[in-house]
Amino acid sequence: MRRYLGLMASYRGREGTWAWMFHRISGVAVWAFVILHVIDIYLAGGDPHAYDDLLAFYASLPGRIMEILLGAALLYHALNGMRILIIDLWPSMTVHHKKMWYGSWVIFFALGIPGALIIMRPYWREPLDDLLGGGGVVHLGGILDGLLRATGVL
Amino acid sequence: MQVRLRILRYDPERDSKPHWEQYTVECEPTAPLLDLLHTVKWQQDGSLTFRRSCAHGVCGSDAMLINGRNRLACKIRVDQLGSRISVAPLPGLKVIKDLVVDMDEFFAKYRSVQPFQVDDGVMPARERRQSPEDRARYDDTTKCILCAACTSSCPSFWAQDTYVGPAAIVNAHRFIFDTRDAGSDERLEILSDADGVWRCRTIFNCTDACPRGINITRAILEVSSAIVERGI
Repeated sequence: MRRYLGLMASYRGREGTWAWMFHRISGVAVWAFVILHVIDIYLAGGDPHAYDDLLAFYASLPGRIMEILLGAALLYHALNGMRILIIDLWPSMTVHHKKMWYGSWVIFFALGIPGALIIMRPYWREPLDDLLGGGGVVHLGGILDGLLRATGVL
Repeated sequence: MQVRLRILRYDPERDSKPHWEQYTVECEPTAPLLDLLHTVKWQQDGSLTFRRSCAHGVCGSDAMLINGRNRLACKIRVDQLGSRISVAPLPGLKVIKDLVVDMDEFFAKYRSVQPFQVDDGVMPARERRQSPEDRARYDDTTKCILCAACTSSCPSFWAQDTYVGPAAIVNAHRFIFDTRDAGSDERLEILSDADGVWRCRTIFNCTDACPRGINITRAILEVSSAIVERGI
């Protein structure tokens, strides 16, 4: 393992290497969250109070950050998985693998940023309005909120 | 220009482990890295050991890890690398001395895929003809010079050294898709093994490292597809 990590660290990979490394990392992260999900569902029947506490943690700031990380891992793994699938089924697409990877990042952020905003809504809606004019002059929080509603993501 | 050249040195008779040594070399920006290695060996330290033969990117004997990527020392120029250059032996292969690695296992894997035309047993009355289209089918993989830059850049090979590796698959591809060959199914059988094509994780290090510009990942995937399509 030490030898392998040493080789990984000494070789300067390009897009393909990064795509693969993130795929592995996101895969392990998704697996860890699946285990966590199995545990919390078990608690719903086994210990309802502990389950309520866990739900309260999910709604807290660290819990929401974890949720964003889970979403990011799922989204990256799915998009890069599609990229690999396309390359596997149509080997001639190998010449476009870098463009496809950058394209998957565009989709990642296009879907991920609104998703993260929705998850973190309780933490930015009011404070943002307070910060920019005390709720009177500029309602940036409200504008963002309206934008999310208008585009159908909220 | 002046180049600071760091070389990972290892002499099994003196060193317990590899160590970096630094040399300062004067050269033209257009000089190939191989010229710098020659300058070090001929003018500064005669004990420096490395392989080279044709010095023109054809024999494939001077592949090494240059600034973190596998390349041929005779093909890469100083102006493509900068004034600070690091050189190490090919990663993942046993080092014999300095920049010389043991290629025995690499060539054993190459031989394992039967990289030669297999006759169908029927002697034709004239030469075996092939259309330009059929010849083009495997043109890319005829370019391999067996430098091992691809195989030794592959993380799957680093993790599992029994993996046959990209170079062997490229050379199998060259014959599998040759209409004159009769040994394709046997080669595909060999490559459908656990240490065959399925170890590829489409990381593209091999394709990026190939000094001949072969689309190695595509070749591997075409061999994988052939295994599935022919039900092997």
